[in-house]
Amino acid sequence: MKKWLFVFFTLCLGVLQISPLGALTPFNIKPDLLLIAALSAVFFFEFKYAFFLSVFCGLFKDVFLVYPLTLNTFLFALWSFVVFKAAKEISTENILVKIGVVFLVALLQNIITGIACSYAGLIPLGIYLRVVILGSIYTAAVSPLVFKLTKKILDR
Amino acid sequence: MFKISKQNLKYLFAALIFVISIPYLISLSSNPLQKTTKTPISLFCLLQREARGLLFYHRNYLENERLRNENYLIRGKFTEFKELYQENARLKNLLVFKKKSSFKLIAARVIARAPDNWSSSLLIDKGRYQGIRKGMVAINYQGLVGKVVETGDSISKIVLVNDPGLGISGIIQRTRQEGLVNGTLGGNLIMRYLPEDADISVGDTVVTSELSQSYPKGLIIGKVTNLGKEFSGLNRYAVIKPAAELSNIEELLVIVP
Repeated sequence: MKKWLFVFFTLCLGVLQISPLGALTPFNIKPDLLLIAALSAVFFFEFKYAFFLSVFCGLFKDVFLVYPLTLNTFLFALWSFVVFKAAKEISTENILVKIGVVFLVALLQNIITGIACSYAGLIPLGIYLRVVILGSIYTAAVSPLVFKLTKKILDR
Repeated sequence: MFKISKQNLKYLFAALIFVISIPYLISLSSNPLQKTTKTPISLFCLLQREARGLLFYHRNYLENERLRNENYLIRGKFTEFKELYQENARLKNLLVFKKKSSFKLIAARVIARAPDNWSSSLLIDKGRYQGIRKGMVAINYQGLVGKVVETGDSISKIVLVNDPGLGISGIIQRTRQEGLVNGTLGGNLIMRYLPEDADISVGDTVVTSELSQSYPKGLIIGKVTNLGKEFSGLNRYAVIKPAAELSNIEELLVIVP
């Protein structure tokens, strides 16, 4: 039940990400809510479920993209695996560690997708840096809220 | 030294009362009955109101609750009407534009936007079944919006003009100076490869050029807001504010060639 509830919650985050919510995009940057949801699943659920949810999140994101790359599906699955392995080595109980992990993953995700996008068509350095840095910070800043809501779903 | 007798104190008190009541006495001369009864009546009314408030507290409380709910309902309806009013105004503008326009147009509603930060795109509720094909141009009554890049049965993906991957050949309407217009993922566009001596100034309107075969000639792209020199120093660039408000598009029109 909790797992289905979390899938529904992820869907809501996905819809929020593709809906034209102007107030959520300062500097024309959006937080990657689906990435946070995928990482939340890794932190709070068992690996198998988290892995499939990450693939689902990546697919959801790729479906709505303009450029014909299925990079997110692959990357989201990769991040879930890497973070799961890393969580065995370091304690991710502390919220600050979780935020740090989200920031690092968002940064890597933005760097890779940014390079892939500029390969398809040149992106000026200013835009690239803006999205990579501000996008990652914004994603990390929003993550505690998603973690809190995930915890609430788990505590039900 | 300053000792006042009891008798004198009485006189002093009486004099003080007299002085204080002078304005009241003067006012009495204008409408004596009304002025005299006003204070006691208002005092009585106040007491009566308070007593009634205490006696009928429960009834007033329920009435207050009912009125509050009614207020919320009316407020909700008002917001709904406001939304409908704005939608009506937007659709009216689109309809006027559609009637005046020489193009064959398909009206569509925006249903979603890009989930990432690397592109600027949106999804519309019309697709192949409604006659939309890849490469068609999207506009609204303000100007150029973007281009269809993918079509489904009943949805289509549109890349907006502020996407850095979309290059549009544009010209300055006043001087016919040509340049390449690109997006910046933000609120502005940039027109590059302008010669050093290009006759261009702030406020000039930029329209699509006929060199661009994908876009019909003469569609308004935006207005020049700033001018600058490229890093190489060989060319100039112009910052353009898009004519269409890209951040809050809700309806648009797709040109059918």
